[in-house]
Amino acid sequence: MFKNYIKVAFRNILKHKLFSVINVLGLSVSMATCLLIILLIYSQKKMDSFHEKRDRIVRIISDDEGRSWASTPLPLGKLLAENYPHLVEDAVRIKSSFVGGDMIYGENRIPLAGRYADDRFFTVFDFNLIAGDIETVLKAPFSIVLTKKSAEKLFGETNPIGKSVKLNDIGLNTLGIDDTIFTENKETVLGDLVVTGVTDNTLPSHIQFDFLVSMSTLPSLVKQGKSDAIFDNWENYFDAYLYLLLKEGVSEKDLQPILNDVSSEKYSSFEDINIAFAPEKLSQINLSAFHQNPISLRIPVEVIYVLSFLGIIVLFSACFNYVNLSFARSLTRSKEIGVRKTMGAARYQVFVQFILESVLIGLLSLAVAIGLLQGLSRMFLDLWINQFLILDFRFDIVLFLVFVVFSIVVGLMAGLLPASFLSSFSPIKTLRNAKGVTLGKSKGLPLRKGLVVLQFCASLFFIITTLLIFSQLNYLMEKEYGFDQNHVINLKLQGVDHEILADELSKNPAIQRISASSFVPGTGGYSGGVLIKNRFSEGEPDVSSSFIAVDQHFIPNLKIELKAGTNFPSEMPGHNEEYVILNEAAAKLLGHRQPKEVVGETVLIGEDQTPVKVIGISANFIYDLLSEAEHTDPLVIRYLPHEFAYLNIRYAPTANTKSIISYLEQQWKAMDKVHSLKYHLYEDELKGTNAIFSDIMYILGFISFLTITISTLGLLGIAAFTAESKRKEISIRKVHGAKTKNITYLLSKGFLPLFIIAVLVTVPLSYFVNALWLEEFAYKVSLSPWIFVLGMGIMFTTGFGTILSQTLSVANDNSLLKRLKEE
Amino acid sequence: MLLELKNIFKWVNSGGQRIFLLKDINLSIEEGEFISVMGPSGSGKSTLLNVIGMLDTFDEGEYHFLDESVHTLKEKYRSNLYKEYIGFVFQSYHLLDDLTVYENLEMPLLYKKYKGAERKAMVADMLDRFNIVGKKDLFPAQLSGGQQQLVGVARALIGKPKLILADEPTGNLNSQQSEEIMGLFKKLNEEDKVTIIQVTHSEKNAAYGSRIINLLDGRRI
Repeated sequence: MFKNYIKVAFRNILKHKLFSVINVLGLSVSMATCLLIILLIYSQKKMDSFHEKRDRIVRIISDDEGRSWASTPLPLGKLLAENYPHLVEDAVRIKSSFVGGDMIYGENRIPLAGRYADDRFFTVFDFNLIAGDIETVLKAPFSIVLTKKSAEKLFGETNPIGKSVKLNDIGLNTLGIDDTIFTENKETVLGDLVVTGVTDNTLPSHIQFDFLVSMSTLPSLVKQGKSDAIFDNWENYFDAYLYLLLKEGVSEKDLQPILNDVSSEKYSSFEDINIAFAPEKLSQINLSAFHQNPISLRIPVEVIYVLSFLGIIVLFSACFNYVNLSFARSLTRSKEIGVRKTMGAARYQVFVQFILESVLIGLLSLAVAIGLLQGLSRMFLDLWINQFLILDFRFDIVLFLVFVVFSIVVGLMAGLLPASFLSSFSPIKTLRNAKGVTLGKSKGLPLRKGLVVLQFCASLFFIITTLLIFSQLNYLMEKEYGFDQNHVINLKLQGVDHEILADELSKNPAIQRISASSFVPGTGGYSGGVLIKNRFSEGEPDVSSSFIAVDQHFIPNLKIELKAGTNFPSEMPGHNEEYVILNEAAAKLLGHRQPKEVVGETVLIGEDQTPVKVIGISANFIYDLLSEAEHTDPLVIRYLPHEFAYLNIRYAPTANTKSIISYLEQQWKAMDKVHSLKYHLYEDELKGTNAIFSDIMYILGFISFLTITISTLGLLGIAAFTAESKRKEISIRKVHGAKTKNITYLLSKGFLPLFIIAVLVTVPLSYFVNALWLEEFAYKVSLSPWIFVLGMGIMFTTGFGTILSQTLSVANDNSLLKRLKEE
Repeated sequence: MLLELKNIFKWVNSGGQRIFLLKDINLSIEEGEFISVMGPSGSGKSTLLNVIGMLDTFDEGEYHFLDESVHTLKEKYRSNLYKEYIGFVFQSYHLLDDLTVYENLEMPLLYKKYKGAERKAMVADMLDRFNIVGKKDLFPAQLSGGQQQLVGVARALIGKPKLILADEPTGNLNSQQSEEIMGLFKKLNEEDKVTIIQVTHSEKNAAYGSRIINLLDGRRI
């Protein structure tokens, strides 16, 4: 029976090639998108699944007034392990601050990043320790465990166990985000660390490290003045990630009351500190809501929700095609259904046959989709954001089974409506007239029209949204920041004295000007906030503002406009802060209608209310990330040489950028033998800050491309079948003198109301949805009606182009007349 | 007695008027009869056949088939009844285009839960009996009309029905092919004691039967 069904299904798939190709094509591209999302979720789920005791491992998170943090106070672990041995078998803390920098063994210097971890690390977690003793490897102070990869880099063939290494600690991190988490400007030499073990940590885990240093090292470092770790500080919940191994049979729910007790005991005496703790299972860490101070970066679960939603829209669109086309060609199947029923088939048997057919189409699509997935996942991994994520896209049998089940579900979903519709045909009606001319015309027609409208809606929505995101991105890319970023290189000082370096560099005639600053405006850097005491208008609150520390060359170097007053004088005293420059927004907030009035006034800034004289007012240039910036962000421009972290090097437009960089490289090496040169071309760096939008563009662009393609395919099929089923009508009309254009109009006009309904629904909807996210930007494009017109134009052209291609060919077909004569 | 129709009425409402398709039909048929239903177009021949075949319902009257009261049976039992006892032959053959001759013959058996080996034997037997073994792997489109109808009859017979309903079985055939099919029906009726009801326009074909029922405007005359 089954064999027979499958045989018939295959023959049908082969016989109705247009139908099959449209369905397999649409389903496979949409399935590939969904498979990628499944892969994404699966890879997150699989992470840390290699720990044997994974079901008993929980991480403790802190909650401070609604904001949850992945880290906890340092003393919490010890307290839980000692006071509640009936629940907690083991506890491991991992220090949240990074330890890292150049590791030195003999002549070898390799930059590595790691963590301080408790000695029970390798007993709780199952990171494969290929050398060293699990029990003692992280016990003694100054013990270090290297990963296999870092050991090979540092030692080559030599056996590392027992060897001593030194570490120039600059707080290098494992997250791969060099520029937003700042490494320290000063370095601390840690040594000597003795290698006690080597671990192979290639299995995917949310705990990433190049090496681990024993936690017991820290007290010694505190004594040496090299660390400021405090082991009994309950007020600071940024300090350590805490993992607990629970006793057999204890669930994380049993832990909650104890955590509540600890919290109320420790914090009841404080008025303004109220930290609550909660357990989080190891398996949930990678697919839960975002916590502050994460141990590693991952895709926020919200992003997965959004991607899944988009994937499902595309998938539904493809299923709609299947439903639509199946209904449209129900005519051609009606005779078969009638015969089968007369020969004794029950309704459920016919139903099963059609469901089987759609499942088969689903499986066929899966085969194609898995092929497409190879390309798609590569494209996805190339996205900018993925350089920061731990993703493991390897295939395994479980994943494959998940895929197969998924495709069967998709097949069932697509086939359910058509199968129940087709199996409801009564044999007498389908067989009464051999041609079955009138059948299935009115039944299911509203449904089909509804589905076409839905597809139109989805396509239009995506086209409009993509156009808008594209124009917003374009706008951000083209946006003037209020300074001149062209031909400027920003160099990270990394502790080098800015004056000495600037003196050296300015010897090159191609370098025109050099200034220093505490962060680079517009790239997401931040120096901190400062309070300006409001002494000008009574009763107004003080102004809290960001500040940037710059030298006297900064403003002319970046060509920032001064609205009033002057720049810092060229001879500035190195010690006390005397002058500041405010931006217009800050001046306005201080209550001055005319910003220039404030020039010459003395303002009190900072907590100790230092009196400083305002000597200039700058224009409101954009110093924050463009996506975050507001028009009215106040800024205090201060002269604080100890805050300088970057040199801004302006070179002649005619100079060769490459030779400038190699000159910098050369000079840097002479100055700093420890660190490597870190620099960015300002122009590129600003563009790079918008990379996340490019990612969103790619993803949405891709999804809208798919949605449009799929609905166009669907239209193609519908138009073809409509034309096909009206062949007789067309030939009769032609005999009576209808022209090609009359017939084309006749066949196409049915789609026009559907298109209009879709426009009426989608235009307001997309207006509101897009206004919602655009609202987040201070600098944004306006929701111009032209975008909507353009979107409708694209829709109309592709849609009716497709329909016309089918109707025209039928309308022009003169062989119809001949056939009519034969009849 | 195989079946009995008592005061069967069937009508449709069109434009406020009741149009009768069957009007007060009384008919009883014994096992082993060969009956021809005749009448002009629209006289209700096919409707009568469909009612007897339980493919169509009627609005009034009683229908007994092998001691079962069809008019009181639920849809499911009705279909079980005709599945078991009735075979259909159509004017336009209604073979499934996507199935070979072999598969077309096998199809009704699939719905009757025969085992694979049984099915194989029954199909082979049928192919043999109708002399179409050589054509078993051909598709209907590769056969002549006469051969297609031969397969159609074989398919109707394969479930070993007591009654065959044939709706103008030779309507699309030339005279030589017609004679072959009618000869076949006669043989089946005489040798295998299969009851046959055929609808026909042709006096010649009607002559093969043992009894003629004439219809006009839904009434027996």
